[in-house]
Amino acid sequence: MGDQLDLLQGTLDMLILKAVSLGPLHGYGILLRIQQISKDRLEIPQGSLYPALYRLEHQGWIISQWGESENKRKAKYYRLTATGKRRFQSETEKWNEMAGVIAGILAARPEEV
Amino acid sequence: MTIWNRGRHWLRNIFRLSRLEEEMDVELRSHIEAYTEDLIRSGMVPEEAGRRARIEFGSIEQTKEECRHARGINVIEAVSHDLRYALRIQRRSWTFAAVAVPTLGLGIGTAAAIFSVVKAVIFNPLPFREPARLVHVWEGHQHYYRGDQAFFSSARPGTLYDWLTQSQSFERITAYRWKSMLLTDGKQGELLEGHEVYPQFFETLGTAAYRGRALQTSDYQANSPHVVVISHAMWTKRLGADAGVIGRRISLDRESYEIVGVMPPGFYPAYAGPYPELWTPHWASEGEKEDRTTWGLFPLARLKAGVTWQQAQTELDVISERMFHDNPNLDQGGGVVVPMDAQLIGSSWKLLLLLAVAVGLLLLVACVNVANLLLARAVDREREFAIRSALGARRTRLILQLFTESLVFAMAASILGVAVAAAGTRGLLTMLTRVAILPRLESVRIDFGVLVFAGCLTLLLSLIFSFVPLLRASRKHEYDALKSEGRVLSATKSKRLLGQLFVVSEFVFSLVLLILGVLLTKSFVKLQRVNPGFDATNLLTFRLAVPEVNYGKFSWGAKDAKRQTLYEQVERVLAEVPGIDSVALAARLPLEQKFNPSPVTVTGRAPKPKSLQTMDSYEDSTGTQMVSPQYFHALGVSPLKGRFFEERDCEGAIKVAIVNDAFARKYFPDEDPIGREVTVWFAKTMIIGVVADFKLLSLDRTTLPEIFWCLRQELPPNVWILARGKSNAASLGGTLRQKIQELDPDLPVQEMQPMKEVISDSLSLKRVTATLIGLVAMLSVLLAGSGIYSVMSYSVRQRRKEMGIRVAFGANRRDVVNLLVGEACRLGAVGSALGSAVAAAFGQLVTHTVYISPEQASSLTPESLSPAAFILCSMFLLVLAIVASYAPARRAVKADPLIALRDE
Repeated sequence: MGDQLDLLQGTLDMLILKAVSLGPLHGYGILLRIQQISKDRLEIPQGSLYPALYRLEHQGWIISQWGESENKRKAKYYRLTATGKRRFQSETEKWNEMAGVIAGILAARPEEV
Repeated sequence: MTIWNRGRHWLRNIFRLSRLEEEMDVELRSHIEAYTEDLIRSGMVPEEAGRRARIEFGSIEQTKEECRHARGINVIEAVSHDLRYALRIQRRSWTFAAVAVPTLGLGIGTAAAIFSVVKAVIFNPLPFREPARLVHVWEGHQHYYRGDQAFFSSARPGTLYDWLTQSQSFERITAYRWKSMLLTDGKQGELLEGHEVYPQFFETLGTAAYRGRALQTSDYQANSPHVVVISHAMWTKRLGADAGVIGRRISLDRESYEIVGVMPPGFYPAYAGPYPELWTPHWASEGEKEDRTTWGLFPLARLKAGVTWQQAQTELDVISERMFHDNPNLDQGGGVVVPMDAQLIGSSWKLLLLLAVAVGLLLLVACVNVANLLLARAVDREREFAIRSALGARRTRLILQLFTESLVFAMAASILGVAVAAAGTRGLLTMLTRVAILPRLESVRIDFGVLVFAGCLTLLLSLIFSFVPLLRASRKHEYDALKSEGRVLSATKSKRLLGQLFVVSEFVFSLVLLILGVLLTKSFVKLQRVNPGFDATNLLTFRLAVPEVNYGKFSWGAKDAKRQTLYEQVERVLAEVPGIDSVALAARLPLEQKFNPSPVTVTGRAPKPKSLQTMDSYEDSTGTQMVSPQYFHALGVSPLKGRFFEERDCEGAIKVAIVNDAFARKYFPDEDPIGREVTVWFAKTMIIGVVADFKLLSLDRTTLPEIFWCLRQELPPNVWILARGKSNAASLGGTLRQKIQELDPDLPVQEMQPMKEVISDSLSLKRVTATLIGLVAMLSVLLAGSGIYSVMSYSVRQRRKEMGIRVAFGANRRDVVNLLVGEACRLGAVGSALGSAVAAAFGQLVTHTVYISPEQASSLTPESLSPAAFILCSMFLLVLAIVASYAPARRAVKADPLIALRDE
């Protein structure tokens, strides 16, 4: 996986936080939600979802609870904690700032430099 | 999350490990199931949908591993996993555990036991302040002290004062004198051994009292109140460790003494003899400074800082030279300085060194054995590690697992080691205490430092050898390892070479131990058959300790009517007992004494030049015995020339002596010694008879020159009784004891035993040495046997396929067995040749530099290094190799060649 994983990791965490900020979701549900929002343009490697969930939970940003899924299956639901919410906001701001800066850089024309 | 919460979360997780594992499983599985259902809903065939879902999800196990890692409790969880796995593996290969754990446990335990004794006796600091500066000072020529040769005599007060006033090397000089005192506390009197000490005694040693105080300057003033300092043993055993002991009064020699102090345990300032229980101050008397006749002082001194004992020796030589020059009539012998530690430890280090080397070899054999087993197992597991590595196990994870396994193994071995060490130390102490040759045995404890060291060694060893498969299973080789198992017919040469090296080294170590054990046992058996030169049957011996309180202060050479009468009475009373054939008195018993040499000068013969005199202290010396007229008769020793002592050789008559044949041969090789006059211990005596040689010092030494004085003319402070019965003398012990009690109720009868036991006791050091080395050798042979067995079985297992092919191609089964056993024999032969060479070199070392000393005569002589023992031991080990390799070889050929080929 190498460097690619690291890059993905940062963004994957944010995507997960966004997905569960809209309401409690189980692992598969998070995957579907992200695909749905991204209109299937983003492919998430299924194997790397769970380690990310466990890490976020360990960091205390999300919390899990056992419940029942739509098709009456035992499922583990994740939702955002207060710390996670604050974290998600600051991460979003940072991301937007970064994206803006990078977009600005990429959009720069030679005479502007 | 706060640290506290995080910690709680983490802790909770540890306790819910199994539940978390289960939940993780459920969660991942339900994910795959949900996805499968979605795929089916989108129109896929169920089987295809399931397959697709699993493929897209990827490796479940790897995801789980990553999740565990993400959860942050991986280490604990992994260790608990590994522990379970390690135990399971040990259970699976129980033979490995069954061989390796006891092997190492035994090795560690034995080594810890022996090294604990070695450490307590030799390496622990003496219980004095700056013990390196403490020395014993003896009277005698300085050449008498060479290494551990103890050739010296006690000192006289006159000499002590000379040293005190003239020498500059010492910070302090003091002395003690042995003094037995009669303790009468209501019950029957008991004779206690103690020291009468000169001023500055405790200050010189620098040991503070355990309770109360040591003696102080005012105690040494004449007519000051009676005070005594007691030993820790006396305080605990006789006074019940009474907390209010200070100030208590006890009756010693019928006088009341106040106890002012208790010394700490292990305070033993003497160089030999029993443990002193009392220290009383010596009151200096008038004219003591000129007293050059009262022997029996043991001076101790503390060197000034920066002064070596050699410098002090040089100064004493100069002082004695000057005094001799100023007054040629003064019988000034000079002083001998001996460092305290050398004095206390003496030559006991030789036995300990031998034992330590032997047990070190045993530990080596044990380690090699285990390394062997671990290596064999490690190579077996190469494949397992390659597979796990290929399946995505992290490298750190594998290392952790190996570490856990090694730890389990080392722990089990160490626990067993502690048990063996505890039992071994106790057994060793019982054995050594009976021999009573080692000082400071009471301070021996199981040394946990040694145990920890051995435990760490085990761990390190097991770690090193467990890591072999990991090193080999590095990612580059993964693939090779996976496929090699299927292809390679037999283990590669390099893999087998290490195992073979192990077998050979085990052979070498075991052979050295075995040869040493056989030689020691052989010489011990030979010693038991040595004829002592006297008749020990029906001879009962015991010691009479004569209390000074009843019989007056003793001094050598002084007129002593009380003792004279006592000895005569004892001899007469005991001889009258029915059943007694003859009774003799002597200052020392045969085989119960050390050589106590004195220079000899023959009157009318020019003394040798001084330079020659100092060549070898044996050359011009003789031992001295004081015996009653009946002595030779009681021992059954026959006269060669002249006559025995008679009634006319009494006090006041001309001083006469009988010499042994060795003396006559040495000093009068071509002359008749009868009627000649010699000077021994500064006293002129006339030789009246010569007796046949008999063993006085030890059974395994040639008899040294001895001169016998008549006990009536030279009284010893205490006497040994030799009573020969007409039939069994041992049964008369009670009657003899009773007769002594009737004569004087306060006269203690000590160490009553038949002469035969005295003889067998004189061999106890050799018995113990032979037994211990023999035991160690046996253990080592046992280990070597199991080592060869395990290497061969492993090698056979690795070469099963090769054997299968050989058999399939028509090899006779016998050929295959021969091939395998032959390989073991070749290894054995190499090991035996090397081992014999090492043992020969080692034996030379042992006999020449380590084990021979005049005091503890050697039972290992250069002649005893016979080739027969070497050949026998080598043969024995070869047979062992054949036996140990035969069973695995049989197993190899018994297996169906087809199964062997298909296997793996």
